[in-house]
Amino acid sequence: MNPILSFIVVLIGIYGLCTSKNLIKSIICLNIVQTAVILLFLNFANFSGSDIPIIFKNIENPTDPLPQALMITAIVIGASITALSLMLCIKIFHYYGTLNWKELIEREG
Amino acid sequence: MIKSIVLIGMLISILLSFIFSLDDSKKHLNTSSKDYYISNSLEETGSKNIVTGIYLDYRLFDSLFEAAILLISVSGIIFMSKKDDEVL
Amino acid sequence: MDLIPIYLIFIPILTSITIYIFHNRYINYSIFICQGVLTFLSLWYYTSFDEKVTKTLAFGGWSREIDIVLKNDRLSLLFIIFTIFIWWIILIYCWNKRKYDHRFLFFLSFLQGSFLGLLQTNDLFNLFVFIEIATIISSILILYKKDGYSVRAGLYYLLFNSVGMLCYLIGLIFLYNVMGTLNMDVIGERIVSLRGTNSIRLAYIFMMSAIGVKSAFFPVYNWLPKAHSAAPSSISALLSGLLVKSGLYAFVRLNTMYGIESFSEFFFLLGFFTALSGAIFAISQKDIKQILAFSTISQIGLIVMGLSNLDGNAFYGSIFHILNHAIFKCLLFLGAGLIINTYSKRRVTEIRGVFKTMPLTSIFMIVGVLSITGAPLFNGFISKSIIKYGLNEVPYKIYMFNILNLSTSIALIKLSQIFFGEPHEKKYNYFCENISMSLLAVMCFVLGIFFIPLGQLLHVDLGFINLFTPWAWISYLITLVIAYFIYLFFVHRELPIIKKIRHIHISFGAANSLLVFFLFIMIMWKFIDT
Repeated sequence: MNPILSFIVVLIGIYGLCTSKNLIKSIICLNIVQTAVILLFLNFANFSGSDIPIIFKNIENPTDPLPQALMITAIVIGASITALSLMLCIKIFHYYGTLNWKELIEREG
Repeated sequence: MIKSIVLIGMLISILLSFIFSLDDSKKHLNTSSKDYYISNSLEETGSKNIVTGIYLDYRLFDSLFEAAILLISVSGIIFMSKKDDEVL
Repeated sequence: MDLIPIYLIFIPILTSITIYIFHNRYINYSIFICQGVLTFLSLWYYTSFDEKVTKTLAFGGWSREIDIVLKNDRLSLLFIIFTIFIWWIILIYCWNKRKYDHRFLFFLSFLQGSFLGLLQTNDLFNLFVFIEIATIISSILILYKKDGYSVRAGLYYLLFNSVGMLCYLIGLIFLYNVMGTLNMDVIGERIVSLRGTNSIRLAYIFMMSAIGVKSAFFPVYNWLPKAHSAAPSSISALLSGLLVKSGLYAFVRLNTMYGIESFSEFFFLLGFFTALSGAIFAISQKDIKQILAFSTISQIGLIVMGLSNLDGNAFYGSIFHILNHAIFKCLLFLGAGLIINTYSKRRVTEIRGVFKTMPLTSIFMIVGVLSITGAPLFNGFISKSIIKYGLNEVPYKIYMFNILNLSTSIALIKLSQIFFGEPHEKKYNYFCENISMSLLAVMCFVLGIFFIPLGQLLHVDLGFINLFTPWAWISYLITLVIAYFIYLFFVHRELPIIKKIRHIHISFGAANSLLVFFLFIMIMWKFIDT
């Protein structure tokens, strides 16, 4: 049940990417998709009745530690892409004065 | 109006195929990596937290290039924000 | 000797960091030392390869299924040598302008290091990290000129490729759940019994849509013309020649790992539509760099038509065409950069008299135009004949191929109207740039004549291609004449439909809807096929 719910959040984010007319909204929807994919990874690792993956004395059923380690990398990659694209939004606003996708794409040169 | 209905239809069909494949994948689960990590990570890496052991010992190569991404994006942001550089 | 793969990745990265730390104009020359060391190491590594052996370098000596491994076989070594060659060419071309620009050399050299890492890795998540580094660095290099058009193109490129790589991650977790490991060799062994199941096919669909975004397949190629025409000329040549091919390299590796055969017809049709739509858009453009960018999309469609079945003559023809296309597309883009710099205009209808103003540059560009249309004695003819020979079983595939050759010729005839006319008054001296372009033109010519040793590199017998039959020359001339008449009657008169095609703009939301549509048609194909 849980992977299905996180996949629904992924699809909501992709729908937002398809229909947003503002530049900042597109970047926020990209962030939603990135966070939902991280949640999807963690949901595949988890199952009911599981413990944390740290070696103590009476831990019986630890969760899978590999997707959790991969997602630390993916969180950092997502944050740096968001930072770089927000900087470019500031530059576009200096040059054109608008943040609407339709007006930005229709301009030639 | 029609565009958003078609789009929602396509997204729902992707969701349905995801649900079918999820049920199908529950029959073929394979946990060989997970068993290896749980049984061997204390002797080979020396850390009790298995996730730290993976992130900093088994997969150090990935973590190194993730730090490189931080370097690149910060230097890109500094480059973009300089105003008086004459770039030809 | 065993550690050479690690040296190939880390020497450019350390050089780039050294250049960035000292803002010194004499330390900038150390990039040439780095390139020379890389050339020597890669050629030495090549001589230690025997027949059909793959060399692996495991990072820790742990169990095979959890360790990150670098693997080199003949295909990746060919790509590595070509990468270092193209980076030499780009460095010599832009040395005059960028001698004192330490930031540009930092990004350029870092990109080389991470690209060499992409070609050698054998681990799925490591491939994701390297593709993300290449995306971020190339988007910074696209917007290097910092004017409005470049920043828009760079942002579009960055956002769209990030969305594509998120689909890759969704496919990755599915695959890991069923396979239990992330190593490509171990997955290739374990997947043999599970190929027809729904979960493997869904993981394949998600990963292939991400590779489709990265290497510009039919519905999702809209980032490519904007990015390649807004970048500075040397970066345009690098992107169009090499970085788009990283997606095709990942395509070959992933298809070899999965081995699913029910999608090969799908990719053949997809390649045909990519090539046809790329050629139609190329015919309608007026900007010189947009014509070349759309013709890149067209040639990628041709390559995918050959790569769709994983063995046989068409496959090896496509691998040759990847390398040949890198050479002549770099040549055309570098020449276009010089023309734009001299004339300060970008439209093909306004530039005239290139042959009299810059005779050396125009000779090299004519060599490039002849190669891309497939003239005998140049390297385009070799790879196109191999692909044609490989598709020989089915007749309608030969007709599709001939239509694509015709459309490429029409687009390049539209480009070559700049060579005629009166000379321009300003003349510059381009010494370093002409040296690099001459190296590429010589490679075009050499590979077109001495192709049999190149075939022995990949263990393919190429003796069936005969250069000097009259049928080869006659069919090429017939194609040119038909293309010239179609150009004269339809394109030169500027019909209104061509103007409408030129002004089609697809916004970011529409491009994402096309990505969803791409996923949808692959899922439909999966259901039709079972």
